[in-house]
Amino acid sequence: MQKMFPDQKEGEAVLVFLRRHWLTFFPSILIIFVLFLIPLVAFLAIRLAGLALGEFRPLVVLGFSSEILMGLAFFVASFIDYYLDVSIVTNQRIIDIEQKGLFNRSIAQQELARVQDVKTRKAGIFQTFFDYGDVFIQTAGEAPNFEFKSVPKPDEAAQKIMALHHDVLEKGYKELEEKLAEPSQEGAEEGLKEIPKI
Amino acid sequence: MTITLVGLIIYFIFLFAFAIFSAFAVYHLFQFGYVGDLCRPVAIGYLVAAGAIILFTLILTLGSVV
Repeated sequence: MQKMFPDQKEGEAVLVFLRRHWLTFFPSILIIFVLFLIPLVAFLAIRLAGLALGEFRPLVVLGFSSEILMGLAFFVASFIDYYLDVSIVTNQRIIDIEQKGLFNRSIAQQELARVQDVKTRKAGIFQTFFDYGDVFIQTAGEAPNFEFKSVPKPDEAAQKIMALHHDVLEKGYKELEEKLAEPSQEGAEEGLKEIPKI
Repeated sequence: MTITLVGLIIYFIFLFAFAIFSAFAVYHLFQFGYVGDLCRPVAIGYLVAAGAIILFTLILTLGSVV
């Protein structure tokens, strides 16, 4: 089986894979667009004004080039920040990977059976219209809680997580029942053997 | 000529910093990407675009000097 993410265990299937809604990346795209537009507008302004740059022409070219490269670098940094922030729910656990900039990456994980409560929140016009928001997962005990930020269709995700949690619990109960049933039978048989025949 | 030379030196210093940043960025995209996602295409696109811009800049700058 091909692994979907680096730390995936054997027999672990990815059931929910969430990234932040694309609209949260939109402000970065806007900034990048402006950064790319500045040299073009400046170049057109110089042309229209009929300015003779003379020996400064290479400097202007180098300046515009640096500005575009900085825009490109900003795009990649924003993309990494947006795209490598991932929330994964497998048939065994919940994993929340948060990437902040290039050198700050945190991974939190918890077993699906330890989920206690799942809440969603949609705040503001954009989140309501574009159907995205936060999913809060409360876990048992001292274990850290999870917050999937600005994910698309949060209600659907919450329902799915709860359904998976119930599946895991049911599976756990069945396994426990089977385990409990086995020794009692053995014990009963052994007990019968031990009863002295009259 | 001197102004261009100074500009080019500053540009190359900038390119050095840009190259270090790009190396880290591309490493992240290749290392932490998932199966079938956009990380690899974006990394390759980024390298191609940056290379093309640098090449174009050097051609324009050196072309105007020579």
